[in-house]
Amino acid sequence: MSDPIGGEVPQQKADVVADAINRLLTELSVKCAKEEGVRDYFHVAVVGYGATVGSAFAGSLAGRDIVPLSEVADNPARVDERSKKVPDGAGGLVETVVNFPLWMDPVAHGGTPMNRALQYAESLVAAWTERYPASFPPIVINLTDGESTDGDPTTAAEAITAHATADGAALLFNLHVSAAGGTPTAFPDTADGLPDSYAQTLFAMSSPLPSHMRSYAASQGQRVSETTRGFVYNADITTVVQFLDIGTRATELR
Amino acid sequence: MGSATGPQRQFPSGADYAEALQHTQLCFQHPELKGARPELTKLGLPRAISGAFASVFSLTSPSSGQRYAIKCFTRHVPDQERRYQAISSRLAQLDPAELSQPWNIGFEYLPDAISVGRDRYPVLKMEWVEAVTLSSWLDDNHTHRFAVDRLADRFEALTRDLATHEIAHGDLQHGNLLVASDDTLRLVDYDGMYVPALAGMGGTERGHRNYQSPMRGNDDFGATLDRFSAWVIFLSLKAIASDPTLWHRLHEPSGEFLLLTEDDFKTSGGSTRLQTLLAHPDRTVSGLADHVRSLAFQPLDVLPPLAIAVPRQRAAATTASAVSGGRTVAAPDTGALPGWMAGHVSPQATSTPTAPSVTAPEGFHTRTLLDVATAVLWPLMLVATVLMFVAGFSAPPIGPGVPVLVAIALTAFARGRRAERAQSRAALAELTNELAQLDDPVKAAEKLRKDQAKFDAAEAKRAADYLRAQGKLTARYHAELKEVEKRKVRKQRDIDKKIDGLAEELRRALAKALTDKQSAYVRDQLGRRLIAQAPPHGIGPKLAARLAAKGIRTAADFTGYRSVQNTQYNSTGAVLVLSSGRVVDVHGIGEAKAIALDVWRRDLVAAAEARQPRALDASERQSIEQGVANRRVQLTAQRKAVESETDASRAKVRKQMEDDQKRLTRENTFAGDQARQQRQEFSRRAVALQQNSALHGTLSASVEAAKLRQRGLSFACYLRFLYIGR
Repeated sequence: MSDPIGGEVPQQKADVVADAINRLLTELSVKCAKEEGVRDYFHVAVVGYGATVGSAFAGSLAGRDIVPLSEVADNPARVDERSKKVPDGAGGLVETVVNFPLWMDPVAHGGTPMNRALQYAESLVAAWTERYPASFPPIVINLTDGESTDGDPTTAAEAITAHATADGAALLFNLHVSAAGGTPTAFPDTADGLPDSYAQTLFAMSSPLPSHMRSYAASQGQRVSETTRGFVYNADITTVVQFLDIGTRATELR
Repeated sequence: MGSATGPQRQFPSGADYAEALQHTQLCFQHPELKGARPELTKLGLPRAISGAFASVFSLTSPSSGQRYAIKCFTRHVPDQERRYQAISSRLAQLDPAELSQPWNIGFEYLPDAISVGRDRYPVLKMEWVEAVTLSSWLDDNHTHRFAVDRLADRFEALTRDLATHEIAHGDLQHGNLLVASDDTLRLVDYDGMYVPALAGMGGTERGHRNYQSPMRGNDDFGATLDRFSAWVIFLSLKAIASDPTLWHRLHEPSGEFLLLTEDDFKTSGGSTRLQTLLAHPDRTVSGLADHVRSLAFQPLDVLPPLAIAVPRQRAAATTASAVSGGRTVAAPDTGALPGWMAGHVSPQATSTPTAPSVTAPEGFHTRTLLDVATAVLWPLMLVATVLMFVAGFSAPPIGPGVPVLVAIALTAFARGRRAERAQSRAALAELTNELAQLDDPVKAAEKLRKDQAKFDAAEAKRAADYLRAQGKLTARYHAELKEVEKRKVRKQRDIDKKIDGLAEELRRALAKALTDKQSAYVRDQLGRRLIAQAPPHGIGPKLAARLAAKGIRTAADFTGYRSVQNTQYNSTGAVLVLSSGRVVDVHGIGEAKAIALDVWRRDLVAAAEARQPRALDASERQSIEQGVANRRVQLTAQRKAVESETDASRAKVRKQMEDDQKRLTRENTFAGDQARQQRQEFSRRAVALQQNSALHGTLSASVEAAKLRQRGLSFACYLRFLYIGR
């Protein structure tokens, strides 16, 4: 997780992943904000895996598993000030500072115990589906550099998607951030052309996109088919957030 | 960006806008918005109110001090600018004096107004409205029955304003209807609005799912878009006005609906919320609920507008009391039509009842010659009677009453010749006939109600059966899975036991191999010692030859001897035991010689044992270990086979379950389709009943009126007519 990946500005994989998650949580908070505050359209758990497997929330949410979105929105660990160059309207760029809420920090040491992480996620999914059998099924988004260091994750992945609510089986989407290179790929419908066996394994583990997500992806200009899977390979951070956005678009909000 | 290259323009996300709006000095060029102050969250980020297509931010202009709602779009909307221009110019034409309340909000579409990243995007600049959403207002005000009822009326008036100008909002719901401090309504969010200038274009959204008819499709876009939502909202407001406890009973805190949700319209048979309203003791509530239920299964464009219900309702209240011209709406409480419906039946339902085709004449008109003659006759006859009295004609048969009788008979004859009588009879006969041909609406309503109740009960049972069948399927699936699991565990335990025993097996095999090797060595050594070559003490060549003749040539050929009691001679002999276990008697070998042979052999055995190998060599050992290893591989393979066998069984059980589930779903979908058709049929019958009932009422009233008029053609009336002319 400490290898750099491609892109305009080389970034460590762990930073990319942490940024993606922090952005996603900001995005979700804005998306679910209504007149009276943030609505709990989603409940969110962030599981980190490296030296240990467990809640990756920092700050006052540290150690918590599934947290209602309204509480997430109100409790970032801190709000960073990040400098950013924006157009000044006169053709130039000007350096500004923007507020960037952070809920988790990058984890870039230890192995990649994907099996244990998926098993952990599975326990959360199991408890959730039992408690809310009528809700939209949980979505597990696995952001990883792909190299599981504790064995083949296929079985653990299957265990997650074996849980279901009245609306269907739990969904597992995989986001593969790799240093191996190859063409960035989003929502493929076949494993052909994926650069390595890790990517192929992750592709095979990923759930097919349900129809409403397919149509949303299509409306966003993605090419999708019936067998399109929730898998993204090495796409840059914009697609990363976009992918998460689609992955979490469980219901039309209005 | 991967394959994310579509023809459509990508819009920034809500968070992107929130980031850009941290520097309004940079992102806006518009003089009023440049440097505007956004409202912030406690994290210091611009506060958003988001929908599916856009996020709205509150900004206060530094130049004018005005507060605006700035809508930033997160999704591509086809022809957005054109739509907003059309909507804006249509709304601008509305005369505020003609509107029931100032519900329209001023807005301005600003293309390329905000820069996010390297690109510029449009925004909608709107007046900031100090008002609360309808649901928040109800949270605070649902107990004020009068205020809620007044709001329901204001809502009706609002929909009437829209209908009058052929405007449809497209997404009427609790979040887009705001209530201002004076309790008048404001309508916000015009993204999906239809105005006549947009006719022919497609819709951009489907509206909030908890307010839409199940029949609304993606492409529906026209003046009738709001009709179902309007009825749903009107029902909710009227119901709360009538029974404020409904707000807590049916509405969930921060639920995305008022009293009813999407599911209530889709599964009207089984929804408990709708049932609560349908069974409500207030007939306005139950009647409106039943109406909404029947509307849910009718195509959007035949739905009655809510707006026309209001004037009718009031007009009906005034005309119903003045039953005069024989033309009135169905009398209230006939049982077929609840009173509230008088004003709420669909337009075709109220307009279709045809007026009776014939009318009875009102009294006599225009005297004929015969009438005049009759009129003249009466005084003559009365005079005649008087004269007859005077003249003394009092005896029968020509009594003094005769002239009067003649006058009566002639009058009756003349009355009978009047056309009005025939007309009246014909009219009454025709009306009675028409009435007889109509079904009795009370009975028909009763039958419809019974049929519907029966259907609802059957549907409820079907839903329960479906759940039960699903439950059974799941239970069977789990039981079978458990069985598969048990079988697997049993088989694997057996194999595991064998695998665990392998170490012991190896130890034993090695021990046995060593023993075998040692005894083979000893046997070999003994086989090499020929009796003839190194005979033991007392065995000469002759005896050796005899022994050889019996098969005993070496020490390996026998294993010992056995004493034999010769009872005949009372002496002891001996027989030798061969290595095969057989015994032989060798002539000349008595007990002593046998003992000598045995001792010889034992010595040889002892000597051989002393030299026998003490361990297996590496290759022998390896081959045994290899055997056990092979066995282990075999067992492990078996164990794996059990695993995949189990997987196959699991898959089979799962497939079976899925197939069954699919079958069940298919059956249920089919039954659901049937039920939907049945519901449509009920709605159709309800509408027909409404029409029939109105017609029935009209006809009944006409019959009554005809009867009344027929009384106006009585003998006495005719007499009056003869002299007064009326």
